[in-house]
Order: sequence, then structure tokens, then C-alpha cells
Amino acid sequence: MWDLICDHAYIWGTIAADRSRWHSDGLPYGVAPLAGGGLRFSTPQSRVTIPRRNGDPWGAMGALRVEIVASSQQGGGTLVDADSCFRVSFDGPQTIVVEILGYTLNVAIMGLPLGNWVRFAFWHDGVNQLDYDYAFALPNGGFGGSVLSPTNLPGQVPAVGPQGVWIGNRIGSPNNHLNGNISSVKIWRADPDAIITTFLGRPFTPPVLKCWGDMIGKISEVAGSDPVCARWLADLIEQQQNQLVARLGQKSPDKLAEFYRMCNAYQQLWSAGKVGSAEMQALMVRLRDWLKNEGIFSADDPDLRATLQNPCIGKFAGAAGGLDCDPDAQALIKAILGVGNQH
Amino acid sequence: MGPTSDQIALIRQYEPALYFFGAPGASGSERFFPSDAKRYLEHAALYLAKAPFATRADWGTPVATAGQLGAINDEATIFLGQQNPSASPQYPFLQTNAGQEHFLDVSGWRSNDTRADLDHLASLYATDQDLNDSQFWYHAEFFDAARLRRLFTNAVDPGGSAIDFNTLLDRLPDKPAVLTDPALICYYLFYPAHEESLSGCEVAPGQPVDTARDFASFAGEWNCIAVLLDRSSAASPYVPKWAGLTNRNVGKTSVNGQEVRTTMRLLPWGGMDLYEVTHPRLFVGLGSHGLYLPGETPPPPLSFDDPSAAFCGGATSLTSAPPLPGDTDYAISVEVLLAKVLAGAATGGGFLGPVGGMLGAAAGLVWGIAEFDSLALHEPVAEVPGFAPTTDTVGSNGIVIYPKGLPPVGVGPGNGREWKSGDSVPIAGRKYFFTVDRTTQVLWGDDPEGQGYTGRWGAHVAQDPQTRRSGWRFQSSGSFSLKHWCATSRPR
Repeated sequence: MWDLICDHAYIWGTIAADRSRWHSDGLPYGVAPLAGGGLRFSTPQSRVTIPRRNGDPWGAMGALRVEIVASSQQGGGTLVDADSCFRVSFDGPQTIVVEILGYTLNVAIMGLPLGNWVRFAFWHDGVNQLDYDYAFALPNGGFGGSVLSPTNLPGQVPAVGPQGVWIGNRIGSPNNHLNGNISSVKIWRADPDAIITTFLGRPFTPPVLKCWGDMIGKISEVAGSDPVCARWLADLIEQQQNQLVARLGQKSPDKLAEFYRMCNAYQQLWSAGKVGSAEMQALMVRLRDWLKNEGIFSADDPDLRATLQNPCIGKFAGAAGGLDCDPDAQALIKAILGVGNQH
Repeated sequence: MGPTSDQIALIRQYEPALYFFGAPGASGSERFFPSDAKRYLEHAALYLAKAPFATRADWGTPVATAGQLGAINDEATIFLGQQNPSASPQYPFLQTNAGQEHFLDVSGWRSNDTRADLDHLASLYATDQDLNDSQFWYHAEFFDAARLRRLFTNAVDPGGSAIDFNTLLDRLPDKPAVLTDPALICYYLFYPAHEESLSGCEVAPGQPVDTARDFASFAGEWNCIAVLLDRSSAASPYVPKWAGLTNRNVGKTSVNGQEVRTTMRLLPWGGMDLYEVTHPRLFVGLGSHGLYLPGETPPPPLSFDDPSAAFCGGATSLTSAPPLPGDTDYAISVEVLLAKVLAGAATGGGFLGPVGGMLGAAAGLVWGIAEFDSLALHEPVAEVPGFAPTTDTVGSNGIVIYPKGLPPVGVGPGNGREWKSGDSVPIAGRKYFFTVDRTTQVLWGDDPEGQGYTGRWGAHVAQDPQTRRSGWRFQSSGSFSLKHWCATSRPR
């Protein structure tokens, strides 16, 4: 799922108010409002800047989607420059350049007249796929557009650096300011809470809900008394997630599709309440073996084994207890462990 | 300084008529109406709670019991605005030190302290003559251009909003400024309570399950109708340009470390439904008190970014645990994944001994990997959650509050109520005001023009990780009318 973190529409003077829940408001400099909406960027001082703040969403991106409605005058220039994360620019009136993860994507906007509005979107899935599309309408009623054209580009989208996001100008390079107009900018990241939506999609019974609530409560209790171990465990989870994404990023589209099909099947069974079912157990065994065969994740990995021998695991597991109160979930774990069908 | 007589005349000129839902007194009808906040406070106990504000142990005992508080010096046993220059904070009932919060309580709690007792509160407003008489009252504040400029400047907060409203007053080389000599009227509506349950959780018509009932209800709600006026010169009359209407925030209430409970949308004055030339007619959402234009269908809320709402509020126990150290944005996700790893370790350890614990932890990681979702497959459309806040219900069949002597067409003695708001209104030896004067009154939050009460207007409750059921604070004028104005609205 995507998390909208910036939604600017320049329709009230030069105010760059954000409509997303994150209040990524912008500070305008040297811009002029256009009749009918939009801002004109025309000088080296022209920009709308979104500063970084404590607790803002720009520090954890993962994936990225950007949608801009803009028009270019002669020369073009920078549309959005997100410090150390991505940059998108007009290179002349008919080319848009996206720079992300060390890669430069040149998109020719065929048939776009100088000064004509264009809606340009690009996105990176946080694993290995970069894609874009665009659309524009001509004054004579014609229109132009693109077809999807994915590029293989492994990696996770990095955090935005301390200089924040500049709209209409390039950080540290004012001569690369935009000579043109921007009507709106929308930016999404990967929703860090997406897993919760999936997890809560299971039709829990009140006792099973209480079972998990009690367990998470106990984990939090132990975390409060041992923040060092808690931090280590949280880091372990993050490290494993990053490693997973990095290894998935090396896989072919077919292999990735195979993986996503298994995840999708899991989520369907989970949301149907078939948590401990034979289908789920078989699926989890298949997923475990697939991850191992593809060199993505294996309990036999000596590095992982060394990591998991940390006493923090035992300490927290002992305090949290098992899931005796959720036999379906226990059956799922046992299937992965290969200790027989207990359901 | 309070408003001048001309400014009070403008406040009266644009007074709204508010239409509430449901036949007066009937079951399922609106129970709470805009009321005098000062009289509510005089009936409230004041608490000084300490972080994490989660249980009675954190709330302590009242520092002022019900009936002791007064908002004007010498009117009651304890003056809310008493000052001690040598103490910290200087105003012990208006301000708090870090890790503390004041809150008011009139009605007490129910359901193991997880809900304010709003039935009791409704009963008090029906039977206590003083509270009953305090209904149909609004408070109003007038900001002239000089105050607005100060407000605009104060709203530019390096740690918060970056919006500089002063740019609206800047003349551009080739076009006039958006505003010339503006003024803002804020009609503050204090409701004793806000009532909001989760939709789709009824065991029978009108009977939601316990955890869904009053999922987002609370005592002490502030809403606002803002009217932005402008004039071409000091000699010209003011002309209304835009109106701002508040509603509740159904998304995450914690934004950049601040609690955001309200939103405001901006509408051009030309789109308002007026009667008697200048008075807007507005419909009020049942229980939630969201403001709508007549004929406007309240849209379903776009999102309810609150995991504790899942299973009709039953998932609160899953999501109310304190976050793990580190990035709190990821806390719940990490906790769920960690729970899988630890459940795996416990299960594996139980079957296979110490090595099994390690293998079980790895099994938990595999289980976590199964949650992986491909973003490449998804367009960023609004998610359809399995749980939802209730779409507002509005109608014209209930109580209508209107400007004195100006009943709208179709409103009679049965359902019509005149606004009672006035200044220096004497009641039982005390005085009551409807115009806001921050230099002399102590109800209006933290403000450079005068220190006011900064605490919550309703009680804290237990198991409330998103503070959906805790009373609201009065938002400072800058944040109430301006900070969320542009951010949540769109001029048409």
C-alpha cells in the first residue's frame, strides 16, 4: 500500500499547503501565482521547499511514487529535487529526466508543445521496478500519452536527506531552477503500516484477539524493562526486511511473480480465516522451500543461526510465551518448522 | 481587547442558523448543542494528570472539585486564572509542566474508564437548570487586519506549519493581493460531548457492540465556523469572501508530534446557503457536529487510519501497547513481526529444545515474509478499510438554532431555538460573555495576547491510543482557523 506524504495543489496565492495527513507544507520563494492555479518558477531563487522535521515521513521511504502536473518554458529545469532520494527535471520542453538509485531515466514526451501542461508520474516499487507514465491534452482537443515501460532497477528508495525536498529548483544548484510552471505535486512512499492492515484482515475471534493482544502487551512490557534487547530485536526485524528486499531485487520478473503469488495466496487464506488449514500449511512449506532454493532466506544460513542465538530471543520468547491460545497460528508455525501436521 | 461595537455588529450580521438531526427529545436525535463553555467549566472538576495519562493512577484526584472553579476572579472558590509569578508554571490551572496535562470532567466514566459517561452528561444538561439554560450559546472572536497579520506570523512555526498566510496580503507586480484589509470572525461552538460509533457493528438496529459504541465519543468538543471578510480600504464595508467549516479528523490524530483532532474546509462565501441576506444555514452532523451545507450529502470518510478500530474496536488491546524503542512510525508493524518471531521461537523451543527456539524464530521470519506486498501491482487509490467511522447523518427535522428574531422559513416554536449568546449576561451573581477577549478572559488557550486554559475540556479515558475518546483542547486561534485551513480545504 502507498502512503501519501505530500499533496500540493497551488491554487491559493503562493501558499504551498499540504493536503496529506503529514502536513508536508512548503515554503515558497520567488514564485508567482498563475491565474487559474499553479505557480510560475522563473528565477534562480524560485522554489518551494519542504524542510525535514523530526518524525516526518521522509526518513523512511522504501518505495516511491511521484505525480506532477507541470509545464516547461525554454530550457526546462528541475521539477522536484528530494535530497539524496530522487530528482526529476525537464530537459528541454519534451524530455523529462528521472534520477533515482544512481540511475537516469530519460522520457521523451512526444508531441508536447512548449508551455503545455503535462501530468507525469513515475514510481519505484522498492524492489526492482521503475516505471512511468504521462498524459497531456492539447488546446485543439488532441491528447498524448504513454504506455508502461518498466525498467529493472534493484534497490530500496533511500530516505530524503537533511536538505528536504525542493520543488522547482535543484538543491545547491540554483541555475538549474525550473523555467516553467507547476500546478500540483503528489508524492507517496511505501506505507510502513501496511502489514497491520493485512494482519488485522484475519477474522479474529475475541479470544484469539485477546491472545495476540496479551502477547504484544507482554512483549512491550519486557521491552520497557530491557530497551537494549528491544532495540536489538527491532533492528533484527529491520535488517531481515532489508535483506529480503535486496535479495528479491535480484530476481527475474517471473521469479518475483511466483513469490508474489505465494504471498497473495497467504493473504487470501489469512483473510479467509484459514490460518491453520492444510492449504495454509502446504503453502507455508512451499514458501519456506522456495525462499531457501532461491537463496533468499534459510534457517540453515550460518549467519542467521549465529544471529538468532542471541539471548535476547530467548528472554523475550520466554516472557511472551507461545501461542497456545491460537492453535491455528501454532499449526502454521509447526508446518514451517516441519514438525508435522498438528491441526 | 474585546471587539468594538462595529465588530460585534458584524458578528451578529453573519450569525449562522444551525440545523440539527432528529425530532427534539426523540430517541436517536441529537443530544448535545452548542453551549456556554464557562458554565460547563463551573460544573467541572479539574484534574492534573501525568504521562502516560492512561489510567486513574495517572489522572490522580481532582485539584478542583466540581463547583469550585470559576473563570472570573472572585466568582468562585478557585479562580482558574490565578497567578503565582514565582512558581512554575506561573498559572497553575492554565498551564502545565512537561509530562502533565489538565482535563475537565463533568460526567465521570463508564465501561472500565474506557468511555466518558455521556448518558450522565446528557442527563445533566436535561435536568440541571443552569446547564440546560447554558445551551444555544456560541462564543465569537473578531480578528482585524492587524491581529490577522500577527496571527499569520505566529502561524509560521519552524517546527510545525510552514504556511505563511502573510503572502496573501502581498501585492504582486502584475496583480493585486489576494486579501487587502481582511478580518476574520470565528464562531466557536462548544459542545458538551461528541458522539461517534463505528459503523457496521450493530448486533441489532441501533445497537452497536460494546467496543464499537462510542468508539470515538468524548466529552468537551470545540468546533468552529470561520468567516473571512475583506474590504478594499478602511472606509469601505467588509464583504465576506470565504467560510471555514470544521469537522473531525478521521485519520491519524498524531501529526508531527501534535494532536490534530479537527479539520477545516474552506468554501467561497458565494457557495453558502444564506437567508435574511447574510446568515448562513448549516446542517450539523448527528453526534459528530461536522458542518455541512444544506443539501450537501456528507461523504463517507476517506480513511480511518486507526488499527485499534479493527473488529469493531476489539483490536484496541493489540494496538495500545507502548511502542518499542526506535522509530515509532514502524512500531506496530515491528511488534507484529516480532510477535511472530517470538511465537515461533517459543513454539520451536517447546518441541525441539534450544535449537528449536532458533529454528522457530526463523520460522516466524518466514511467516513475516509471507506478508510481503508488491507495490508495483497497486495504484495509490484510497484503501477500503474493513472498519470505518460512521458517515455523518444530517437533516432538517431537528432543533434549529437561529439568530434572535430571525427564524428561517419552516422553523417554529416546536423546533426553533434562538441563540442566547450575549455579553455581560448576569446569572446568579456571575457574568457570562459570548465575545472573546483574550486579554481579560482565561478560557482561550495559549496565546500571546493572554494566557488561557490549555488543558482538555473533557476527561482522559483508558485504552485510547489515538486519543479519540479524550476531550479536545481549545485550539489557539492560529491553529484552529488557519493552520488547518489551507491544508484541508480547497477553494472552489
